[in-house]
Amino acid sequence: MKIKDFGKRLVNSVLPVLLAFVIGGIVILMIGENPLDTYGILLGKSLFTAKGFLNTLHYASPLILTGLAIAVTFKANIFNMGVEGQLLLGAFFAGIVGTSLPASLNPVAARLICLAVGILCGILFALVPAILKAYCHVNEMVVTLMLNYAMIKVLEFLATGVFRDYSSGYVCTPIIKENAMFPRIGDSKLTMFFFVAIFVFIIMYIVMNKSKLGYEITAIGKNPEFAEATGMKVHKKIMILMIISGALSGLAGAGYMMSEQFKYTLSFSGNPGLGWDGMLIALLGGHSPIGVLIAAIFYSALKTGADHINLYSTVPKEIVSVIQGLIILFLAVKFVDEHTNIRERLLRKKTSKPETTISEEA
Amino acid sequence: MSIIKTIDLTKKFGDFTANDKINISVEKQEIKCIVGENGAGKSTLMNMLYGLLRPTSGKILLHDKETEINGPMDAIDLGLGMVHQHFKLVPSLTVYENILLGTEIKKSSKSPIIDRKKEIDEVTKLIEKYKFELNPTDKIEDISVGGRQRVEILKMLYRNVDILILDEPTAVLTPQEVDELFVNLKELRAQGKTIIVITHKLREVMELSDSVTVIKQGKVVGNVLTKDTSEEELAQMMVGREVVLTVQNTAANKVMNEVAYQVEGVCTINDYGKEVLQDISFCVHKAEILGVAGVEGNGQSELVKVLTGIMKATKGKVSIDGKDITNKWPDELRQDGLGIIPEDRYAQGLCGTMSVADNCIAGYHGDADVCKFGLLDKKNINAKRDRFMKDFDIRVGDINGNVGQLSGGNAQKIIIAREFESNPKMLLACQPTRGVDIGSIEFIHKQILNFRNKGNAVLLISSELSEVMSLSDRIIVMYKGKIIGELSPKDVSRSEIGLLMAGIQK
Amino acid sequence: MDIIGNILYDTVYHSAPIILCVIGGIFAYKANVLNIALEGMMLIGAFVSTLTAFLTHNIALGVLFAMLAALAFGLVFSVLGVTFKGNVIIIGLALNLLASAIAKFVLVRMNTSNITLSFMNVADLKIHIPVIENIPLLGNILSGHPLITYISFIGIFVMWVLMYKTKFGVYVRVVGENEDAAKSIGLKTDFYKYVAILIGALCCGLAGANLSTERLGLFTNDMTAGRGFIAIAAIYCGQGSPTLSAMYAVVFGLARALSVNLSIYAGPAAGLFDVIPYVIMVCVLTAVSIVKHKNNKIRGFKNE
Repeated sequence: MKIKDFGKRLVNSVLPVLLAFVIGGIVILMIGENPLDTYGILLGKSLFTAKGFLNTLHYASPLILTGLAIAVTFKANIFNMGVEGQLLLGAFFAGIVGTSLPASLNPVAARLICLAVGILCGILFALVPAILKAYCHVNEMVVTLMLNYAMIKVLEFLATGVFRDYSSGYVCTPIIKENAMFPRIGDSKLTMFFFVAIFVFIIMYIVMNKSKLGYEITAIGKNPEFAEATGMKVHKKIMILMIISGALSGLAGAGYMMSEQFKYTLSFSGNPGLGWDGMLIALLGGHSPIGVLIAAIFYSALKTGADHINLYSTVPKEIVSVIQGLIILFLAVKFVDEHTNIRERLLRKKTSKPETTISEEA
Repeated sequence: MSIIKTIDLTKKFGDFTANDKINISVEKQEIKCIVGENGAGKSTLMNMLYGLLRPTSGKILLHDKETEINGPMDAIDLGLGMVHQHFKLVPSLTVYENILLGTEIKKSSKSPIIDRKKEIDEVTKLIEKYKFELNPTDKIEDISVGGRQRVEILKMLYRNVDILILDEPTAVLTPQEVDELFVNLKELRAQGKTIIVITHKLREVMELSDSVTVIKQGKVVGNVLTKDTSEEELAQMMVGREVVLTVQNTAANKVMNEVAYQVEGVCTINDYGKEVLQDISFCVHKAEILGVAGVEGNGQSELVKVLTGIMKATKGKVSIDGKDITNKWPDELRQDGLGIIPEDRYAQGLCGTMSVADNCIAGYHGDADVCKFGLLDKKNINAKRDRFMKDFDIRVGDINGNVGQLSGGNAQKIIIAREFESNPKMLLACQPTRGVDIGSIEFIHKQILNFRNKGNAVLLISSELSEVMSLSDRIIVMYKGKIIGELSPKDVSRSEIGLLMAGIQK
Repeated sequence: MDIIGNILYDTVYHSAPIILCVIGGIFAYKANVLNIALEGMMLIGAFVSTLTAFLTHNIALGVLFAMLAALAFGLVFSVLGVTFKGNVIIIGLALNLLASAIAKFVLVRMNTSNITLSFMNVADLKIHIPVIENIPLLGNILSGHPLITYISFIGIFVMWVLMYKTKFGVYVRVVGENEDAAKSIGLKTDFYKYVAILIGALCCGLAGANLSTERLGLFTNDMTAGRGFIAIAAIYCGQGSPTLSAMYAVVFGLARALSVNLSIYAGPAAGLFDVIPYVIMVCVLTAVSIVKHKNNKIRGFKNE
């Protein structure tokens, strides 16, 4: 049973990826390039060289966190689409604090303060949709999406005005102080931030798989009425989950600021943005922490590999965004599960009407 | 000449034979009742007649001609209409729109616009022809359940069916609505229609039908004319042995004077602001079962929701052993000693897509024996599940599988095991045996009585009047969100309670 | 006086694409399919229309291809969401990402960051209605808009008739409200869902063409900036009524017009005015939800 389940999940995750790569391959063929070569460059350097792999892990760090941030809410059927906005806000103020700290401050303290600020900002921004959902039944999906746009505009305003670094030729905030930066380990880009992310991953693994809260997340996601009737106080759990999600997003933003970007620019999070990447990762990983970890590393490999594509071929690296979109698209359809499930469900529908229930005693 | 006839009709679901060589024959212009226990295979049979299920083998003869029915539309074209237990109506549309759904009348054959006036005229004529009581322009969401059922029947009649199948038509009706329905059905028979009614209520069979077919475990076990039989005989055929429909409610039990659970002046409103519970007050003593009788939809559902903490009361007070528990949340109620058997098993009691073990701890998943420092103890949880299965004779196909695979009786036993586990002082049992096989019904009834005999209090809410009457020490009757009477089951007859359930006070 | 005129004009101007999305999205909403791909359908419409016009110098062809592209997206949505029963929210998001990714990919291949239609002047596309254009204020509202803007407002009425007066509209609502009822009278429920989604796609394609080609003669990536989601919010607020939802779309148009016109006076804080529409929609959504749940005494949440 367990192995069968695992196999099903594997097929459901791998098949969409393969399909997306096939279609991506066709697109590459159409612009006159060899898809296999392109994919070789895409994944070869980022996964199969030591330095490349460490870089991949480096870029995976924020993705692990945003992936977990999405997974923890999506699993409970709460659609927190605001991870991107929460991440940006956390990053922005972690960056501002990082520039204004005294240079003499102990580096560990400085980094902890910056991370804490990021986490706090993420939580505060997540609280808005959380309160609206938990106490006013407002659809959290629409609200978080709207607030994302609003937040991007606000940060744009702050970055171009109040906090702008006028010595730079383009819109950005000042670079954070050295004591707030995560230094590189060895000659790769890897920093302590990766280990922070792994530490958080372990905690989230325990929370989601072993804890009372994890049990409640599953129950709320599967049947909210049952969850409420068995005393799980769903509105409080929504608040808690949104706070966790916001904290993870804020941490991701702060960490990315302190380990990679060092200043806020208008394209800080890239396109489509670390928060949106997180969604792909959560879906790819089936909302399970281990799945998220693997998916984050795989996706980070795609991202770092995309830069190599630009260097070594004429295929625009944007092909990776197209593949990403296709993966999510195909992930929406559960190829194995859904079909067998549909059959099972139809059968059960007909057999489990009160009249025809197959009872053990019958 | 029979209008519809089946020959050796068989339906198998995998290894399970739901219908085994069923032979029935319905005469023109008769009212035929098909009776049987839950799970006997009545609905399977009807679904085959209506084209919703394909027979595994056997034949269906319509007007003595072998006919293949490939779906509801096909059935309707062949003159066979069905009124389902769960109505297939659209609440935001009007009566006439629902009746004409799919056969709308347009202003002209080319115009895309619907001709409202002509539609209303047409439906008004139809309503008059069959002497039904309905207003064509009312919205479905505003009319009574009985009214909705009449709309369903008219929907079929408009399509000129001459055989009408009704699946458990009286389940959701008040006694008066049942009477009205019977009048309507007899009028239809007089106008030449043939009617097949599926039911398990034997009194109604006697009152309504011309002939009866009894089904047991997928087989026909009796074919009789109604005038030649009796309720008792039918019951015996249905179950296959002398039926003790009433569990022995031991006379030895003595209700104590001490109040265990008290409800005072509880009110609440629905989404539209309408008061659905009005000033509900009662108390349950120690070692007492208080039964709540009433036709479904008279506020029992809301009362249970309020008492189990999933709905808020706007006014009033609830207390257990003198402790105020008004509007507390379900987890707090359980901590205060309330055991809950909820109304809808798979909505509030169990999660069909979670494992048996996970369901065994639901509601008590924070208790010290399974949860330490916020972490769940898998070993203890599995041990608990195994103990439940042994103690309560719960039969599970795949022990690691989901609860959804279980039969009604076994699923209900999980809830009962779980709720009794924490030694509650008071049990709130709502529809405890709905959709449960007879064996499990007996078991569950015994459990409830034992619980009471140990000196605990029970509030039993059920739409099965016989269940309420046989188990309760005292009965209150709900009608339109109010308690309109309190009686002792020993001193009253069914019909007296029936009158109260219909809102008629002496 | 001038500023009021400008605000009114801009209100109509900014409302049009959202109204189109709203009336398109309403059918899917009524058919009980949450179509959050409105955004992506609009973006792909905007992109394809400008690209086609750029390549062919033919605006009509641009609009046509915009609708076809959006229809293709709608078809993907329907096949995966209705036929294969995939999660429509995820499909919607994927299409949104995909629209942006495709546009970016092509833009990079073309070595440009945006497409400008230099062969034409958008002012020429505006329709000036004689007499009315000279009436103050009313002239601002009714005259001087491009064709699709007029279509969008007429569309509200057309959709209302389609939804409430025709068989098709009734059936879509039946499918959305009680699928069993629809099946019991032999309706092919999937067909109505398909059509509802495709109508939405068509409208979004038009909205996209209006947004880029017709109004600005320019395409920049992600120029839809959440208008699709605002349309969804408007549908939610209006609870699926074409007129009421369209009204909320106009509210957004007004907020946008205010932010554009007032920013002239605001100086550096101008950027913040762009936040107003989003915040207003969140407030409206909250207010509607509070009113809707005013009498709700049942605790907990339902899976939506």
